[in-house]
Amino acid sequence: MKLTFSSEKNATVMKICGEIDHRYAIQIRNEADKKIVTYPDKKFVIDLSEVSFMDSSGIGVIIGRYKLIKSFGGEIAISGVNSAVGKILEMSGIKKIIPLFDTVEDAVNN
Amino acid sequence: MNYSNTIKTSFISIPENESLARVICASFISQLDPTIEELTDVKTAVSEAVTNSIVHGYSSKGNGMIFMDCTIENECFTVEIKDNGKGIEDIEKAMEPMYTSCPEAERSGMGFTVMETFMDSVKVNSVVGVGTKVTMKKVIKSKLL
Repeated sequence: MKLTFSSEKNATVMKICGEIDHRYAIQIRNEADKKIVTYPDKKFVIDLSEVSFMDSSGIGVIIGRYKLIKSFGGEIAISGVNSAVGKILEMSGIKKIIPLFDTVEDAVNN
Repeated sequence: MNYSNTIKTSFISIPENESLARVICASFISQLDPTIEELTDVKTAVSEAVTNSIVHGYSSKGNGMIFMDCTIENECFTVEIKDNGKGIEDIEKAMEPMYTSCPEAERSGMGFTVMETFMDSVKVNSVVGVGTKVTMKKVIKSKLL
């Protein structure tokens, strides 16, 4: 699993490459929270386009970041949902609380 | 078609072995020519069961063994994931969507729901102080086409 952060306009983009399971969930959570706490006013975009596998540990990570960002009054979005993560995102109900976009650009601008 | 095959594996309860378990199952069922979706379903369900053994069965101490047996009977894939951990006091409660005994660890409480959604059947046997066995089945339909 590889994690990269970039700054796009008024958003922090976290791109996750590889697999998201229990093993990597803590690392993602810790790295993401550092950015969220440092830039609480920025929209936080989670880019899943390069994720090859995700189980419910990933759902826990996303919901946890949603709660943290909401506590700051901030915004969160997800981009790049592919076939490896689409089904579990669908069943989790995340789509009802976090907007999903095809691209990072769309997530940043909308 | 009249075909059967079985493998028996065991590994220690550390997070690094979650991906190992997924890869073993994915390799094993490849002989049934699954679709990408069927493969992802099995990998996800296996990941949930193995994670449960690591996190709940052995309380993340990494000091136990997990036993994973896989069987193919014609088009039906069966995986049995067993630990000798602390067991589940209330299986019905544990299988409720969004229930987790570890909210502080940001567990989503969706492990069993994922298993039930992604597999055709899920059976849980558990005895407190003895361990837990999860048996899951899935018919690989692509072979039937």
